[in-house]
Amino acid sequence: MKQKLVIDLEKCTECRTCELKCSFVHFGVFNLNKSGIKIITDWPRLPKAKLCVQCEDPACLPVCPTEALLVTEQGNVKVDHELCIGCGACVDACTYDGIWMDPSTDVVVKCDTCEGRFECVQDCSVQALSIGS
Amino acid sequence: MLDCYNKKLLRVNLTHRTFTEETLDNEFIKRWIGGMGFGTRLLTEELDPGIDPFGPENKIFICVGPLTGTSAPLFAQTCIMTKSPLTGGILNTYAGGHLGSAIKSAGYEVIVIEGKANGLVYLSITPDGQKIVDCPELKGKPVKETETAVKAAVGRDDLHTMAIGLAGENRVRYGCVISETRAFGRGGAGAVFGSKNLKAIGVAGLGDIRVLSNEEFQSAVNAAYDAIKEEMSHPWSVVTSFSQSGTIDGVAMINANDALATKYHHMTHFDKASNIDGAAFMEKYETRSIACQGCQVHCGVLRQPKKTRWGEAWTRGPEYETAYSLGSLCFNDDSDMLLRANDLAEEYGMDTLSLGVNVAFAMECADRKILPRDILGDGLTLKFGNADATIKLIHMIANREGLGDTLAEGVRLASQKIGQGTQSFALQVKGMEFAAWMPERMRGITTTFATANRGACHKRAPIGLELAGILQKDQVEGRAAIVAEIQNRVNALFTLIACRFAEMAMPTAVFLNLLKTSSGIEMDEAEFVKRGEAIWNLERLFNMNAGIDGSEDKLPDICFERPEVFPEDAKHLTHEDFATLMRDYYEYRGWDSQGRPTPERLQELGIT
Amino acid sequence: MSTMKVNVRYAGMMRIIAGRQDSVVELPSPSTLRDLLLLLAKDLPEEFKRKVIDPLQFDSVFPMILMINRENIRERAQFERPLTDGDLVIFVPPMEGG
Repeated sequence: MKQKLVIDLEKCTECRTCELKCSFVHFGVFNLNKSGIKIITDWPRLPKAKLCVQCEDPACLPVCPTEALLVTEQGNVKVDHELCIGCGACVDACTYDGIWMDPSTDVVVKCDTCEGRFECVQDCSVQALSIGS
Repeated sequence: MLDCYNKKLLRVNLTHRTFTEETLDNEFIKRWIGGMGFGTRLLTEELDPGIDPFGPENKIFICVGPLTGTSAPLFAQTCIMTKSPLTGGILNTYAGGHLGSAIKSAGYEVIVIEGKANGLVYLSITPDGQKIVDCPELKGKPVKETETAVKAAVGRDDLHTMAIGLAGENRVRYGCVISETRAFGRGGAGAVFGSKNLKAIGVAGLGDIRVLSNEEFQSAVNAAYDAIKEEMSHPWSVVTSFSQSGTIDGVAMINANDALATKYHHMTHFDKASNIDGAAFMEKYETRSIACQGCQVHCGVLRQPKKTRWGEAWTRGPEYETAYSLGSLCFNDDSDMLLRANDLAEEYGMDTLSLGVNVAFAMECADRKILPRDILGDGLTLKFGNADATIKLIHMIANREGLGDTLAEGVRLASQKIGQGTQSFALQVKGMEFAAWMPERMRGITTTFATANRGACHKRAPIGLELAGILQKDQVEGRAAIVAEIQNRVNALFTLIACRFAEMAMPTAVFLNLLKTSSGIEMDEAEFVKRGEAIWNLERLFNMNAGIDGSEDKLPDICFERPEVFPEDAKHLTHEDFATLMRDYYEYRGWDSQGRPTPERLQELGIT
Repeated sequence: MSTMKVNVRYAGMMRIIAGRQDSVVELPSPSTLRDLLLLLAKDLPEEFKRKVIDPLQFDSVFPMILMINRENIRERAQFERPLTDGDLVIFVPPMEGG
């Protein structure tokens, strides 16, 4: 069973530390658009989150025309940003809102668990993030 | 070097509806660092101290800092600087949230608003372009509705906003700017927005924010996280308390110290404080914690919407200062009323501190029979503890109706207008209403209220030390020097822009390391504090040239009168004590006996 | 055995943890502040012992949450201070305000 990032929205304070860490780890910059997790404020209701659920049988994988979606050693789908042409087929194929277009680069972005390192989890000050399967 | 800076300033001229980009040069950046540093240098260079704050010559400087938009925790604030319509002097005001990061990713360090639009407008700065948009339909609209409308009109989910409500439009002198429940509270920046017909600003950006050395910056951030975790591992650290309930439990703590101004300044203790303290709010209202960007402390207490007698209240807070100004100071102990009052202050866009002090002032005037008790109309009695009267006055002030029109001017002008000796008990310094502290009780507060460049501000006082008894509250010796040092230090912190709680969570070395690893700017603590001192002196010079000189470093007469209820063993403030504090303060700062910065001290600080 | 009465107040969030607001506590005379703390640890809900008394006794950073007659207790050595009949002891949250 694949591991995946899990978020407890009742604990989330909407600080976006996870988004900042994600973009920093993957792209070496701070840019909320470049994060594979997206927290969406919905006051006064709890926030929503966009996050890849790491399907057993990913719908995104087969529809990519440039083989920009690959599978890591841990079994998670990862985006090769050099190969992605931003066609959006994977975005249409995904029914979980787990992969989306980054408007700052016009290629897609998603959570890939940082090759099993889950770098955002330890930085969440309220333990809203955890590793699930 | 300087990787974390965009180095760009956007100048928006509302009169001509133009946008100009300028570059901030490296020397400027290295000298002034960011935030309040940029704002103060630019403002003092560009504004004639004598201008009318409501005139088109006034400008609004919106500044972010070197760490804004990075993962550095407790650095999410944005700084607004302008000439205050409340004090006539230089104003710096801050708000957290997520707006600063948007400004940074939009590519700017500073946004300068100039001139005046010929009709109500909002400004949008997004990857789709920069626009000044006429919005007559938003006239008079409350803040939340405005922010939602602008976001919808611009059509971007990632837009962050700041807006004014009716109070700013009506130039209530303490009208403030609100950004997604966070307030640029003090000093009337919202009224300046109103005078320019600027209703709101929406910002979105797609830009990357970089740092000099990724590995070293991450280490610096990890060290910051460790420091915060360590601090919050202590169950009774102040920071831990903030993370649980914001600042509202300050009511309980300050009351226990007999330093909570109650029924104006008649008392230092409120018997009903337990109805409006942190415990009361946590028990009565469904709450969840929300955080500013990147913050690990999440001090924001977002209350679920609640029906009250005066309408539905949905708000973040109230904070301690509000529970003082609209609570104990007015002798109000109704938590529902405080919730709704906080909500109204957010919707109208008004500083809750100045607002509450004005309401309490009116109640005191009625108590002394200087104002008629039925002056509010509607069968309401203007008297201490009347929650209905409090809510009514908030509406009247925002709408500038009747007595509200007088109070909308602030207690300094209101007391001048009402006359009859009311000036002696108007709780203000340089026109800025008191923050939630009693100069009669704490000498650090005495000193900083009298000397702070933006008026009676508490943000630069040794509050913790005096409350803990580490510094004796009523001791004068050495106090002025401590206050001056804190004033310098806090100014320096506001260049980064550190949240006011950052110092309590992390040592200064951590901040300087974050600055170094993000920008390459390196300095030791002493040099850092000296930068703050330079900014303090720049502010002082501006104020002096605006006509605010050493004679304004004073407190209202009421502070020298012993309240009815005052701790027996505490020494009350005397004129001699005050004179000593001011003398010590000027001496420590290297100013002359009139409180003017000497040429020698200015030279030392590199200011010409 | 003679006794004395001290007034104990629980301000702010302390009230929630202690499950009460104000009380008068009877103690044998003489008693120290430590004696009072130990008594309260026994009598009050377990949460109070865990969240208030234990940190007072053991936290590496002494919590500024205790006052006697308007004076802050700042170190554990002050626990040996003898109490007097009518003393006011306040458990108070360590806030600063803003």
